[in-house]
Amino acid sequence: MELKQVHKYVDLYFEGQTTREQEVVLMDYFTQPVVDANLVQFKPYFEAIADERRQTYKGKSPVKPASKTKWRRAIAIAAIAIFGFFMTQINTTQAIQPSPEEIVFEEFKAHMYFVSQKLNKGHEGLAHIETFNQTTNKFIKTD
Amino acid sequence: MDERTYLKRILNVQDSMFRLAKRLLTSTEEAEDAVQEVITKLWANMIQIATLSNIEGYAMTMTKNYCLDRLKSKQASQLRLVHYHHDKATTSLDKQIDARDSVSKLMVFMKDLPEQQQLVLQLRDIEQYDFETIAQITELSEGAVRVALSRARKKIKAQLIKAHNHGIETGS
Repeated sequence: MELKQVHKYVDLYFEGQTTREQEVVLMDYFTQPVVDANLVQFKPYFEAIADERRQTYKGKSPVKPASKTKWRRAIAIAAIAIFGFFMTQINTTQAIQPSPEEIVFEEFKAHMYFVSQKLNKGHEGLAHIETFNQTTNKFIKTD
Repeated sequence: MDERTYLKRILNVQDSMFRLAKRLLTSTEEAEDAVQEVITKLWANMIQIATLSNIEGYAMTMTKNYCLDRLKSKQASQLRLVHYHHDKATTSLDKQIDARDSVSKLMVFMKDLPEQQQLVLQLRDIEQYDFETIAQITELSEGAVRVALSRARKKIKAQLIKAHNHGIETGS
């Protein structure tokens, strides 16, 4: 940076006519350890500005990033829901699965049904015999 | 805008809010309280504020207004005290400034400037805002901001030259 230009910027600065870019140049110039003897009187002000900019807020933040805990809560709820769902799933599949006694019972039931069907068929045949008896009775009239 | 982005934008401006609050209230503790208060308000009104284009500028305006309100209520409560210690009132500010070890060097240069010029100088030299944003924060016209800035800097220049000619170290 040419000294002439710095002088020009300094003049503009104290008139309130500098752009932000020019002010950045001035800050860089005046925060150097050594400046031009004709400009040294302005150094304390720019140093004070640099000092002031270093100040930060160290107080507590009154706003907590609630979204983080909210997410955690949502994940916890989802985990419990999924766990619960699987538990009920396991219970229902267990209910469907029959015990060995039940299997035997079901088989027995099927066999009994089969037997009863066959018996009914036999019974139907007996009905024919009855009709036969009736007709033969008509032929054999004793009186 | 979601909560996180909004919070991030608020927290990005909190240092600037703090420096502004400290400029106006002079005490670190009070400035921190002010920042907390304003951030709480900004958070509570997220839905309305998130729609604004310049959230940072709005946060700074809120900080400025909050601090000026605090100063007004403080002045009102101290009115009687000032009256009784009328002759001491002017020197006490210098003494207060000297006594505070945390006080910034910049305050030494700024203490004789009117409040408005202090505010403009703070927003331009420390926070490096453009004139449009400064106008928004201070609720002045851009022209008025430029005038205030040039007046403030001329006074600073005069102070610096005077101090230099007298061989007084104002800076350290």
